[in-house]
Amino acid sequence: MNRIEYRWVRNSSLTPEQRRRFLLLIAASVLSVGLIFALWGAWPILLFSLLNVALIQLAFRRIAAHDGDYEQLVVNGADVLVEIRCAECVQQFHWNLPWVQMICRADKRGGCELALRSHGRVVPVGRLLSDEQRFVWSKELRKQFVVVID
Amino acid sequence: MSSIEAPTVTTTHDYHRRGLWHYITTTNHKDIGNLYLWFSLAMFFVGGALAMLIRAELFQPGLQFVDPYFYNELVTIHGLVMIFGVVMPALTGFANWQIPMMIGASDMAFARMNNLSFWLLPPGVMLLVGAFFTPDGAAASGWTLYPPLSVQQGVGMDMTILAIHLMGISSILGSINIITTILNMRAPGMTLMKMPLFVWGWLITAYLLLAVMPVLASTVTMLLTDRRFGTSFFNAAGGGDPMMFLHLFWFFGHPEVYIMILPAFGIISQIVPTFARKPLFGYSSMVYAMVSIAIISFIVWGHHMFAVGMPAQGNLFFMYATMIVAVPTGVKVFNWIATLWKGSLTFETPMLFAIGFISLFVIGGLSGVVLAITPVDINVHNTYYVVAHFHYVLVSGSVFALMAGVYFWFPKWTGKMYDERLGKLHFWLSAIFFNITFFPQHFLGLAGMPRRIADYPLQFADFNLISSVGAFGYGASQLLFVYVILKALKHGERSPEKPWEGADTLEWQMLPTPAPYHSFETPPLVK
Repeated sequence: MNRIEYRWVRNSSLTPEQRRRFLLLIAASVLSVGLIFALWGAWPILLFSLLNVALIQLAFRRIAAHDGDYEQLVVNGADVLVEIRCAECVQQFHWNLPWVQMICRADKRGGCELALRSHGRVVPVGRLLSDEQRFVWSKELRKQFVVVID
Repeated sequence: MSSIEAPTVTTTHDYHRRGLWHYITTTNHKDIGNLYLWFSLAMFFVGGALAMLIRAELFQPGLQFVDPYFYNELVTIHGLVMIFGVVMPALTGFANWQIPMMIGASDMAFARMNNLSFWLLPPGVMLLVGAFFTPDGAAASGWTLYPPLSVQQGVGMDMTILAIHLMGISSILGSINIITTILNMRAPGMTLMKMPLFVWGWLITAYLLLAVMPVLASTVTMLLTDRRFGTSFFNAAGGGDPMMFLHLFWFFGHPEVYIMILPAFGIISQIVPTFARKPLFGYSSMVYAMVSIAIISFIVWGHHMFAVGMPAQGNLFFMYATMIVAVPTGVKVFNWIATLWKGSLTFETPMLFAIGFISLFVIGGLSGVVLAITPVDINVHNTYYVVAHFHYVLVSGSVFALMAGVYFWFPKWTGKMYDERLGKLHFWLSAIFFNITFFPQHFLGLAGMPRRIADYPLQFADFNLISSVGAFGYGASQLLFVYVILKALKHGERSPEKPWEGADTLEWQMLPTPAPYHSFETPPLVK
C-alpha cells in the first residue's frame, strides 16, 4: 500500500529546561534588586520588579506553548490524515483521498499559500515552510491530490 | 486571485506598501527598524539643536541668548533626548534590523509588541520636548532629576516623568522581545557561543534593561507621588531622604551607560574583523568581557556620588569596583587591536568610524579611570571634566558606532551604495570637530569650570570659544550624514551582493542584497 508521510516542526533553540533556567536567572536578578531596595524603604521597586518578572514569564510561556508545534500529513492508500498542533490545540482531519482537493493561492506578499479541502473544511498546510519550500512541496502534493488554483 | 502555476517567490525587498497606516500598523522587523532609525535621526537633530543653543550661549562669557533657568532646561532636555530619544532607539533600530537576520529568525518573537514598543516613543519625546511650552517650562534639574529641584518644579517635570515612564515601558517591552527572540529563535546550529557579537551585546543589554528599568520606573513614580500625592520618599521637608534618590537613580544610571555602549561594542566587533579580513581575535573572551562589564555595572553606581559624603569604606569600595571595569574593557580593546594586527586592512567609512571609536573611546575610558579615583573625583566632580568624559564615551563611543553600523549595513538594508568619498569626509569632519569640541573641556574641568552654568568667569573664555566652534562644526557635519544617506537612497549605485568581502554573518552569507522583506521564513542550518 502506498504510504507518504510529511512532518514539519517548528524551530526552537531552547529546550524547556534551558528556558526554565534562563527565566530563573532573570527573575532572580530582577527580584533580588527589587527586594534589596524594598528592605531599604523603596518598596515600589519590588512591585515594578514583580510586574517585570510577570511580563517575562508571560512572554516565555507564550513561546513555550508553541514548542511542540507541528504539521503532519499522512497519505496511506485512500486515507488522508492531517494533524496540526498549534500551542495547546491539536486538530486532526481524517479524509478520503478522492475527495481531497489541494488549493493553491497567491498570498498578499506574492508568495503562495497551500490548503487542503474536503467535506467543506479548508485546512491551511505548509505554514512552517518557506515560500520556496512550500512551492517545491506543492509540486510533490500535486501527484496525490486534485489541484484547485484559487 | 492569481494562480501559483508559476509562483513569484518572494526573495527581494519588493513588498512596498508605504502609506502612513502601513507604518503605524506594521509588524515587520525591518519596517520597525526603519522607524526606530529615522526617529532617532530626527531626535538627533532635536537634541543637537539644543546642544547648539547651549554652545551658542557659552560661546563667550556673559548671558547672550538665554536666561540661566532656560539654560538648565536646555541642558536637561538635551541629555534626556540624546539618551532616550537618540542612542537607545537607534540601537533598538539596529537590533530590529539585524538580530533576526543574524540568528536566522523570520522576525522578532512578538511582532505586535514590537510595534507597540516603537509607537510609545513618539508620545514620550513629545511630552519631553512639549514641556518647553508649558508656563513653568521644561524640567531644569539636569537629566538626573535630583530632588529637591525635581520635587519643586512645575508641570514640565510631571510631563518629563510621564515621558520617562512611556520610554521605560517601551524599553522593557523591547528587551523582553529581544531576549525571547535571541534565546528561542536561533537557527539550528546557532549555539550561544556561535552568535555574532552584536547579538551577544544586545542579549546582555536587554538583560541589563530588565534589571534596572523597574528601578528607574519606580524611582520616578515615587518622585511623582512626592510631588502630587503627599508622600515623602525623597522630600526632605516631609522626612524623606534625597540621598536615596541618588542611590536609586544611579543604580539605574550607571548600567544605562553600558546599555548604550554594549551594543555599540557589538557593532564594532562585526566591523573590525570584516575590514581586517581576519576572524575576531578572542571571541570567547569578548563575550566574557561583555558579561563581566554587565555584572560589574551593578556595583559601581556610587562613583557618581563621591561628593555626597559617603563613608570612606563606601568610597573605597566604589573606587576599586569602578577600576575593575577597566579590565574587561581593556580586554575588548586589546582584542580589537589584535584583530587588526597583520590584517589585510582597508579603510572604508565603516572601518574609519570603528577605528575612530576605538581610539576616542579609549580616551573616554581613561578619563573614566581618572574619575574613579575618589580624591580626584571630589575635585573635578560636577565640572566640565565629567562632561568631556561622558561625551567621549557616548558620542565618540555610541554615536560613532551607530554611524559605523549605518554605513556598514546600509547596502544590505537598501541595496544601494553610499558615496564613499562623502562618507569618509563625514568621518573626518566628525572626528576633528568632535575633538575640538570636547577635548578642551577636560582643561576647563581641571581648571574648575562647573557644568550646568550659563555664564562663567573670563578665565574660561578661550577654551569655551574653541569648544563652541567645534560644536557648530560637528553639528554641521552631521547634516552631511543626512545628505549622504538621502543621496544614496535616491541616486545610489546598486550595491553588489556582498560589498564587504570579509563579512561572514548570516545576513551577508545567506540573504540577497537588499535583504528581502521576509527573510528566513524557515531557519537556515548553521554549521
